[in-house]
Amino acid sequence: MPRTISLQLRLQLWLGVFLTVLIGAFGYATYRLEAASFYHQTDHLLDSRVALVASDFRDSEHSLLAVRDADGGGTAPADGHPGPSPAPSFLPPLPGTVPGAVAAPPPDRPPVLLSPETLKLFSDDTRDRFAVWDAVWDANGTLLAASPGELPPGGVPDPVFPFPATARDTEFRHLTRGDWRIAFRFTETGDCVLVAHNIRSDLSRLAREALCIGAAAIAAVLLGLGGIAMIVRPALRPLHAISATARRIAAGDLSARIPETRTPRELAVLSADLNRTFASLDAAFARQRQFTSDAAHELRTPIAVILSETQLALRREHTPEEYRETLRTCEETAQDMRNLTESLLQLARVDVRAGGQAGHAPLDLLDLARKAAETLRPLAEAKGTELELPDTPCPFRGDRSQLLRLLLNLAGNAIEYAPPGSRVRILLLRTPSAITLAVADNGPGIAPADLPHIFDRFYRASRSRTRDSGHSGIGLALCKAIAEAHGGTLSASPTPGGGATFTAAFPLS
Amino acid sequence: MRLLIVEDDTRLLRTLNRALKEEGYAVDCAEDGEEGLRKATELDYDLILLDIMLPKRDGLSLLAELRKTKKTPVIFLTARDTADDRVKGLDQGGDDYIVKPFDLAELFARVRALIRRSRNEPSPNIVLGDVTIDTLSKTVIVGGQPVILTAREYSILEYLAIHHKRIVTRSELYEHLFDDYEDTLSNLLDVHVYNIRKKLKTPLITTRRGYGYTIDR
Repeated sequence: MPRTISLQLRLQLWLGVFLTVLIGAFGYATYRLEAASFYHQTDHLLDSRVALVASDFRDSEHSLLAVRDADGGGTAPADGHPGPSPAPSFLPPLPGTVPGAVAAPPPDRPPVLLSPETLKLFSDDTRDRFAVWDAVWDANGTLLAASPGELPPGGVPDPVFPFPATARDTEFRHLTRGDWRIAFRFTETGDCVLVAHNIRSDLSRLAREALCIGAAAIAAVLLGLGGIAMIVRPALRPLHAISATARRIAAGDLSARIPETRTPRELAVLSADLNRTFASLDAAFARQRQFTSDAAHELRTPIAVILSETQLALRREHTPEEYRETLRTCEETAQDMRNLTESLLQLARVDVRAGGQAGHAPLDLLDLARKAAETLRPLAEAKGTELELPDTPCPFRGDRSQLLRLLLNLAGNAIEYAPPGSRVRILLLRTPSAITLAVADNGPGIAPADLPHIFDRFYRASRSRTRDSGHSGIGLALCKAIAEAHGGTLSASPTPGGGATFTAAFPLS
Repeated sequence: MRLLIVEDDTRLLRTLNRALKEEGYAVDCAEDGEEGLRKATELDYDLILLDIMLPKRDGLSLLAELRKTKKTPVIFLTARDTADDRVKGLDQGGDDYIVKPFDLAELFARVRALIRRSRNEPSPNIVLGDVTIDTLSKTVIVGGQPVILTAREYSILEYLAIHHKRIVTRSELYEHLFDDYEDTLSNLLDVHVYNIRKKLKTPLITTRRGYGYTIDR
């Protein structure tokens, strides 16, 4: 079995892959949910702050207009707050060049007045506390106000970009730049209010959480793999039992069977099937062994005769008549052995073919009966036995030579055993369900003690009488094997009024 | 020596009958178990060759029945060759077990050995003074000179030698040395004994009028 992976390993691999993907997806989803929840909360906070700054800014602009109307000049922020300053130098060029934007800031734009609450937001302590940075630009990109102190490293990008400065939709927008989470909004007047929140610590917290989730996932996968191994191994144990049994069978121990207890149902069915197969294999081998040993046994006696005869003849000088006697005995014995081996060969062939219907052809049993009668006629005439034949054709499907052998053996036996002057009948009967072939004689019949054994291989009724007439004790066994090879049965029964009837019945399916 | 062969294969029976007769034994035959049991019970055979698979009564049951009355040595002669069969045959009271097909020489040797054993004669040679009887080659040596005896003469001498120091009756001799088919003329024994005496040139065999013969040495 080159390049195959064991079922156990394969199952473990696939279950492992499945488990890994599942736990990975779960961990990733957990992480994403965590991150999403964090951004949602942060954005919500930033949004409210943007809204606060924006509304304050708007109010301040209104009041500024009012102040300018009254003073004709700008005022400093109320509590000494630095107030708006030019855009910090780290900022990229403000989007004055954005197409469609107003080209230049109004040169006389007055400083923005922020309410103390808003200014407090811009103050250090709140900014530190929330790690936020606020800034306001006008529609032209001029920085109107910004939190003091250190600005986000890496810079707060131009919030207007990639949005057109003309946006006045008051929608909250969010984006992340480096460590900063930014929320911004364009007011109706085109000003942009931006709040940035440094999320470095949050990001590292998220990263830590991701690590934790990852570690947990890996632990779960490893645990799962162990669990899979623990489940798969015992689940496959019956398979090991099956293969172990098959190996024992292959090694020649035909009595080996798969244990069927404590086996899952699917495998129990398989085991039962295999055990049945093993059993029939065992039986077939046992039959074969029995047959071989029977055959050897049957050959021992004639061999003993030939050996003894020849050794006796060779021991010392004998008369020509004695040598002739020896040769005659040897010849007769050898003829017997030939008959025996012929019968054995035929039986072996029928046994081999018993499995299939190969060699079966349409034929007429009447034809075969006539042929058999023709062959047996001299024997029947010699014994003065009357041989009766049927006269209606009986079409059938089977092996011609085997069926002829069946008829010859049955009718030949009947003629041989029946006393001279008896009657032997061959009968053919066709019904819708079966074809019956019978050979009936009115001879002495079969002794009840012999009846159960007459189809056994090498069984001879009244052995001493039959052995010399060349019977191998295998003829009826051969007939039975032929009948069975044609899906039929062979049975013996007394003929009403005396004698024996052999009946071969072939059901028509 | 008179043997009984119980064997259902007539050809083998015929062959063994011929072979053992040529060896100088008197041989009776039986073709089935019942006939065999009847004959074995009627006579004191020196040995029985017994097949196991027999019609009417198998060899094992024949022997079991025979052992109730007789101790006749029995060799099983059978085609059954498994250890089980051998054990069963020997346990049943068989004295030896020969599997078919066998060599005639071996069969003869086993027959001789068993007859010897049954007589408590460990050696194949019987020495009676200057007369030595070699039961193996069936020859007799008197004073260093071989003496030619016929098979019948030899077997009479051998039987008397085996049973020396006791009177062997004429009927016993007939029973053990002549089989069913032989014409047992009343003076046949006397003629044989006369010839033996003449050939041996020593008065080994004494006649006890009205009883039989004996070898006193």
